[in-house]
Amino acid sequence: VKLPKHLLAWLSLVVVFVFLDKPPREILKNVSIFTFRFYQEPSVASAKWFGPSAGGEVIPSISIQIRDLSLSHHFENYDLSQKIRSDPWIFQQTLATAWPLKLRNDSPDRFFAPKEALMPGCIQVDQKSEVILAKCQ
Amino acid sequence: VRGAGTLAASLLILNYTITLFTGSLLSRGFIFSILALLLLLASPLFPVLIPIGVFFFREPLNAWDARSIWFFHSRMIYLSDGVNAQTGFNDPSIAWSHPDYPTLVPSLAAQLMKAVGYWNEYLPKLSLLLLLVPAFLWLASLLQKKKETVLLVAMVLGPLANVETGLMDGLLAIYAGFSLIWFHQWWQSRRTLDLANVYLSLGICLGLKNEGTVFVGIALFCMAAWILINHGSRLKVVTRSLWIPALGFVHLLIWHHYKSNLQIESDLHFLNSVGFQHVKERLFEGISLKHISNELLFSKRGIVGLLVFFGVAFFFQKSRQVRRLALMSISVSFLYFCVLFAVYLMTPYDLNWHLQTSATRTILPVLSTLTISLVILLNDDQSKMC
Repeated sequence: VKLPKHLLAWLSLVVVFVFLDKPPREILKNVSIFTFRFYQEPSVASAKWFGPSAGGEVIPSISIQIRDLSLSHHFENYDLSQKIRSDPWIFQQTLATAWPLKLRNDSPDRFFAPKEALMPGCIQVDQKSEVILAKCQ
Repeated sequence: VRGAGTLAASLLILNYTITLFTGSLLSRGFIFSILALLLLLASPLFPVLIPIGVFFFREPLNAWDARSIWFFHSRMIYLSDGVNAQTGFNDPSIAWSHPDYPTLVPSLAAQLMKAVGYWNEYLPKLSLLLLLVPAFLWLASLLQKKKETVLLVAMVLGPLANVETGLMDGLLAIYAGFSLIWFHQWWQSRRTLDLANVYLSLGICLGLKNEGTVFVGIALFCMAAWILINHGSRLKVVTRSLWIPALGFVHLLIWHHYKSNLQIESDLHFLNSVGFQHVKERLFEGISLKHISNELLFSKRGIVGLLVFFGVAFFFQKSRQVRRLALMSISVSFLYFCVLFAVYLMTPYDLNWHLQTSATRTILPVLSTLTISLVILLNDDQSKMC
């Protein structure tokens, strides 16, 4: 019996569409749309890719505020309250964004969430919309 | 084209190896030279690479693992100008980030961003595109001959959506597939270049993630067993070509040296008595077994489809040698699947959560190697099989 190669090839085509990780229509649509936009106005389409702040919108704003406060106060390290630590995404992104500043459990410079009660021995020294900075003894 | 693909892969690994070996990022001039050479090699592929690049850059890096593991490591390497004591991989506060994971993509991204001059959340994705260059060059060379074009294209294009998110599973799937197809090519042609491609694809697998090491172990075991059983004399060729894996695998040794020097702990600690306790519990539960099987086998419908096609093609394939080579290839898929299954049995995390967040991507190398098993089976160039 001869191997029905053409049949297998066409059936394989079906597998290709099952094999793709996301619905293939969505991928093909996205590739076409973005390529079309890119060729229409390459400078506009690519403008968002460049610059040190490009894509910063994916970083949680609290993480950016913690990093900015740490830099403006020239910290060597910092600590986060339990409430901030309780959200793994915020916790990890804060550590990643503030890097190379390190998280230290014994740091006197501790960040709290708004409306969160400060620990005894902590005094508020600065504030942003999503975070409170306190100096703790 | 195949030579260009091999050269591109060698350059990438060399680049990475030098970074690890010297502990510091290469100069901008050196990076630009490598990039210029890669661009030259890949220039015929621009009509394909540009739309894929545009697709990749439609969003910044936002997947959890991409941001918390791979590109966080990359930023650490970028900020400390290399892999060294200042990088901070041994800092206890980032143990959640799996600092022991391989650093091929992180170091490539760090080098690219050094050349760019600043860090942002879009451009590190260039490293993913760069790693696809050898894959597309290899694909182009294989398509010149293969009738099973659709399957080979699927093997490379299928995992692209995963690659785009900044996770490593898609790239692992692509290069795992290439290692098997190059072994098949080498078995037919006896060309050293094809054997070099086997080692280089395995070398890239090693640099991507820990699962890559598992895959390489399984693939080398099956390939060695195949050579010994079928044509022991070819071992001489393999032995004479042992300088090639030195290029492909040396970065793993250097990375292990760094991990040991910096006392970076491995996150494979669950492979202990507690892990085996989990296995015992889950084996007796019964539900867990069904749950893992369902998630691994049916989360991607392609697996069942490919297995059916494999069965049909196996039945129609007349050459015993081709069937046996395809069986060797599918053994790699099967053994890798078994390891995945065992890992899920041992996981210290909630099984349901672990499966739901990872099964669709960890299974990708099984899909790609199954695809290649089918490609081998559909091969009709039996005259060259020996």
